[in-house]
Amino acid sequence: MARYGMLLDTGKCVGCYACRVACQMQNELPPGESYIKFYENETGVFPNVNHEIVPVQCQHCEDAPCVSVCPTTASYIREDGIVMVDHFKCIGCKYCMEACPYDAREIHHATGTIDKCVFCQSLVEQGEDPACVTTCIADARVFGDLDDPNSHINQVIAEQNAQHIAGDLTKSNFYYVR
Amino acid sequence: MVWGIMITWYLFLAGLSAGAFISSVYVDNKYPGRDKFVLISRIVALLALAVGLILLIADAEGALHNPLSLFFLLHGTRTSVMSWGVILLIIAGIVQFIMLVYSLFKSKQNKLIDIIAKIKKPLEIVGVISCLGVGAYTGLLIGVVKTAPLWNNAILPTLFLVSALSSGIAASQFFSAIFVSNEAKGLWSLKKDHLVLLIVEMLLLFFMLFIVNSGNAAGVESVQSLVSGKYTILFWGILVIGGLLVPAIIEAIEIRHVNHDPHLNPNLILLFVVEGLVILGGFMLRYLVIEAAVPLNFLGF
Repeated sequence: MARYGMLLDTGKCVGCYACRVACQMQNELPPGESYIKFYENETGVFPNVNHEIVPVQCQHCEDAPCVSVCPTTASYIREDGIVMVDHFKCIGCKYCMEACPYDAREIHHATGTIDKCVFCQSLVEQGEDPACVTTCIADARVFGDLDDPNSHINQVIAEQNAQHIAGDLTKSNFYYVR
Repeated sequence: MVWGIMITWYLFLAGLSAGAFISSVYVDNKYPGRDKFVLISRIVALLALAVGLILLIADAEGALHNPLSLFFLLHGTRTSVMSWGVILLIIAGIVQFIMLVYSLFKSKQNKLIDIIAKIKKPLEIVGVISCLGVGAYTGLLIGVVKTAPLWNNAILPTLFLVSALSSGIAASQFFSAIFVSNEAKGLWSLKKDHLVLLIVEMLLLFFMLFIVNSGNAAGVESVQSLVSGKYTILFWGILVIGGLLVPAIIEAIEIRHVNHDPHLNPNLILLFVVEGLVILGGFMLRYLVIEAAVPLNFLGF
């Protein structure tokens, strides 16, 4: 079984927000709702300054706090590692939103339930990449199977020494090159 | 953090309900004959629980759109503190309801009342245990949220439990004093225990803030906003001085006086002031703990 993961190279990200728009289109989200948040970091002293943009979405943790706190089992992890929300079971208590250390969850006001990045599982099931990956103009994102040692994502992780965004805060399946 | 005023009210009311029920059982056993005090305490407890639960469900937007989803609470994950809470609240609610019916119709000859009278002791035990559980659960619920250092510590559930008992005892005295002032007066042993709870609560609050303040940046930011920032006036004025220190001092003086003169006629106005302040302080504790929580900075910048 595959264990899906994603890698993001913030050195390549130009902050165009195309991934956010593609995500909103794919998930039919209203303009104010998004599964990708952007954080900006400025470092250094003039003239040696650096400006980094860090897009953050669901990190698809193997020990997902959102899943362990969910009182109705609406939040669950698929066999392929994708963390999902069953909207029929979700009561919208927002406990998962409190528990998620990455602030990756959004309340979908039309249904009152919680939503988040699901690695575009409908596209992935058809063998395609998630919308944020295909739309990225800088090829900053890589999607693939972390269980396959020869997958492109594993090669980039090894080559670039990619890390989780917050160390071992959770067992995330999302890697960053920074 | 995303939880707001409705969850604050729910955490406060659920705790108050648990405390008021335990207070009713205590008085029923310690001071036989104060039936109206017991009855009013049980009404307050059940009403608080009901209003709290309505607020909880109203905050869960998904359940408003699809009420059927609430049934999944009953066979949800056993890792979720919220699903333990649901079971505790159901048990506590049922026992509180049965005991209220008993208190209401105690004097009447009725088969149902006879049955309840026979199992009164075990019911009381189950009720007290489930209410202690509810009081602790309101703290555990947010205590397991690793994202917020102000919540994620072992002292918080204990502090919430102690505060739940304290505000419940205060509410049972406050509302009984409105309707049957003679039964709410002179419960000195309850007042002594209440004083101990207030002192323990002050210590726990101090320990919790002290320890969280020695932790990571988000914890420090939370504590600073309470003691010397955005919430300073509410924290010191309403929670520490108004909700804990002043009631504790007045109760200590009252208890000292009554030790000298056991037949002292307690001052009803003082009772309203003390218990009202404790209830206000109990609410303020939940409000501040919810509002002042700052999430961990996972980005490292």
